[in-house]
Amino acid sequence: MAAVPSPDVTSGAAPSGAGPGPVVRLRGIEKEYDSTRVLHGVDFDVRAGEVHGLLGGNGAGKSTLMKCLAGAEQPSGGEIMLNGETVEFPTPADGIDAGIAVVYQELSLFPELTVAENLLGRSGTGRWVRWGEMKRRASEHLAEIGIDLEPNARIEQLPVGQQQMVEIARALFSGARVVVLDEPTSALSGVEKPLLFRFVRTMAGRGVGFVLVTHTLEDVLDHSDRVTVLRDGRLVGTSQTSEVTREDLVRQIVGRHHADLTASYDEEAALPPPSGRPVLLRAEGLGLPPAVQDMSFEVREGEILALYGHIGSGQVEVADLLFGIGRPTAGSVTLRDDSAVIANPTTARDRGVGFIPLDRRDGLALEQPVTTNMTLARLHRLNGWWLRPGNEAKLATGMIERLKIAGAVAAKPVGLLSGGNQQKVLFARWLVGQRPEVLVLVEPTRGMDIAAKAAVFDMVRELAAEGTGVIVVSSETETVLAIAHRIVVAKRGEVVADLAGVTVTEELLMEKAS
Amino acid sequence: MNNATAATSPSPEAGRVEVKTRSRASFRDWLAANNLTLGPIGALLILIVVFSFAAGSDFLSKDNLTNILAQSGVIAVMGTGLTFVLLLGEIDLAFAAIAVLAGISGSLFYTGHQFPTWFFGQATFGEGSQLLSIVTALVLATALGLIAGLMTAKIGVPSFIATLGLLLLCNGWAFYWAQGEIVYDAAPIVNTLGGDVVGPIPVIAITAAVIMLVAHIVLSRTRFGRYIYMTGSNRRAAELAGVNTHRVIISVFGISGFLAGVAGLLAVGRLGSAQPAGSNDYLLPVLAATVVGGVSLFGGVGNIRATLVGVLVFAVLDNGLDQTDIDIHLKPFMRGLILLIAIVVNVAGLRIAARARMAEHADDETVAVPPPAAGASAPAAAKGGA
Repeated sequence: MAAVPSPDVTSGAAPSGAGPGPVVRLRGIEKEYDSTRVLHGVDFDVRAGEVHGLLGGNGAGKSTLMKCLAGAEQPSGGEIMLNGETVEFPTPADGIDAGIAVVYQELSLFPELTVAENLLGRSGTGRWVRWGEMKRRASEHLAEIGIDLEPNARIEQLPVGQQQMVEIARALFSGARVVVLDEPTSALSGVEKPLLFRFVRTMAGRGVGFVLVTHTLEDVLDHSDRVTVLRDGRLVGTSQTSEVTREDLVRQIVGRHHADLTASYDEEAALPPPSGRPVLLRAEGLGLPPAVQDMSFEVREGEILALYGHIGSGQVEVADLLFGIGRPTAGSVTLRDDSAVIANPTTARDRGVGFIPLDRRDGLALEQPVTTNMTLARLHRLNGWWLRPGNEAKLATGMIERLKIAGAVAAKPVGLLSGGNQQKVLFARWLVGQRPEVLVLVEPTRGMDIAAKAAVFDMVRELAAEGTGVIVVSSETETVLAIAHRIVVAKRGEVVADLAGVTVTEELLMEKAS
Repeated sequence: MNNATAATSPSPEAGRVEVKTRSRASFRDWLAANNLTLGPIGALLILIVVFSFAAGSDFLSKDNLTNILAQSGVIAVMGTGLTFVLLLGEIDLAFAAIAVLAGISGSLFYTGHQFPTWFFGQATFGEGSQLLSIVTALVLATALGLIAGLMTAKIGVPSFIATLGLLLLCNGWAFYWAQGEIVYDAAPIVNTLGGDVVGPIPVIAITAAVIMLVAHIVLSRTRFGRYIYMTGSNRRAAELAGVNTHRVIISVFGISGFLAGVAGLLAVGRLGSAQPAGSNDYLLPVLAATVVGGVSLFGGVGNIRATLVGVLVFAVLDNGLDQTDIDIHLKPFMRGLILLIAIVVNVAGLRIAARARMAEHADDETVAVPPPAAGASAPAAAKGGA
């Protein structure tokens, strides 16, 4: 049996704890690692029934603060108050018992098991598994919180958005009163996002307090009641969301008025007309069903082409085809004038194409040093059969400086760098020794903070200025609007719009893609 | 290398520069470069000390040390081949069986014994020609390795299963050709390389040392070696950087097959006969020796130094136990127990080293300070804009 009753939630009663008083209050939280202080006396609270946005750049202390709240880390100073009483959560289990749940970006469900098994896993049905009983209770619970899901469905067969809801449901089922959502929308498509927020809003209406940790300002502006911004481990401020603008938030996060950064958050962009420069890559009628149906586009010298679409529209799969990962069943890719089949990544590389995959872990050998990861794609050009380690280290050090890769030394294992810096190492891989003719980047800014995004934009722009044709595959309108010279919109595996020489807005893109 | 970054431009982001004292850095570098083998070297020293007391004065005698080296030879050559495969994150169960088959066929070919050829009756091949018999045996062994590689890379058969099948096949093949009997005699070159002694040094140990040296150079100094480490560390990443991983995998299994063939011939030279059922004597000991040395079963971590130390640990243990008064029926158990302890201690040591490295590098990022303030400590602001 569930050890912890879940009063407001599963009973479906009217909101009881939705008064103004906070359920959880963090006061003057400090946190030090070794001698480095990452949190400086931060105040934060969550009220019953509210959605509270938490913003801040990478390293601002958001995740550390949430870990302190959940019991995954112990604060070095300050106090946590639950319903007005000071408490301590020595372990994450204590946080969960007190009703605080965190839904991380990487979901912690068991993909091979069913919805019902995942929901009841922790409380179980006693020593023996009683399938009927389990299914019945799961159904009841899902019905109560208004999720329409088959309890016998296996998790891996569900779309990511529904998996997320299962995870939230599991937290609520085990009695959570405060749910922290860590970047909940980064993996969601445009259709799934409103569904998630409608669900969150419903649950908030029943008295659950939500914390929304995210880089996506829209989510906070559109869906939160209050918003807190952290910077460099300090509290910048907490405001009513209705009283702040997007510009206010950007300024608070960045901490200074930075023309580039605010410009990169423009909601519209005037695309230049196509240049007369030669076409470097032309895709004609590419098809690899079911994901890719019929896609044609081209990128010219010095041009930044954005392949935009909601997640699952085929733009990621078509990018794979450009680099010889899999072969299209229809259509062709022509590089300059050569339309020979790109049989595999080695061929693609040798013909001047570079590729940065969706998942960084697919691109880097994490336990190997920065150097060897950087030089891997150009090893055959830098060396003959014999390696020249000194030369490699020099090149790597040069790249570390050029791309400003914080915390990197050539000999350090690349897995010890932060995500944004790992991305830079991947970027450097295609710059070492030789500039690529065409560089394909898949979701290069996903999950990044504003400063890291700006760094990626700079690298892309610089490379395009040198003449490389850059193809940026992205489902983030901000990124697309910030850097694209030309935007190709994909929908259900087909190109539905090819925009150049016009002014585009976020609304226009959403309209085309949806 | 660390100090090279200190000359960065004064732009705010590039300002995060490593601040380390030279002595700390070099000690850490030394530790980092050697942490794989420090544990096994310790184990080796302990075993030598223990046995020089427990096994009496004979243990450290010249003859016995020569003996230990001779005992190491075959295991070292096989272990070298296996190291290539393990670095790739794959496994080879067939090498010992390939070795036995190569040894048997080398002897059959050279001595002119008849062997059955499936449907065409009895045959002889290459009688009296050392070169032809040896080269043919090695080509056979290499081809078998390549087949394992092809199955793994091209068809996607897990190497465990591919080489398990090959193990059974080669055992059967050797049994059939030898008609279940021990084959005596071998080519003189094989006898020399496997059995002779130059002064106190067995030729087999010299042969093994040369092979290990070449392997070490290939792994640490060539592009191919780099591709092995990167493919073993993350095959997908290597592919997406344009590395032809299929070719790397097939080549590595070819190397393992070739070295198994060499080891099989050396074993015949050392023992003076080729035994069709001999593969069990090698498979698990070689695996154990390699892993004791610190080569990871998960790919990307390890080197020939580690293999060498592991092989020596194994040889000293085997030899030392033989010279103690322990009940002969208890010795295999003792050997297993000591190897188990060595492996557990080594893995625990590596984990501690890895954690220390994480902590050390985590502190790299925060110790970083802007260049003008070099020496002053302003750690807190460092993480800000990243």
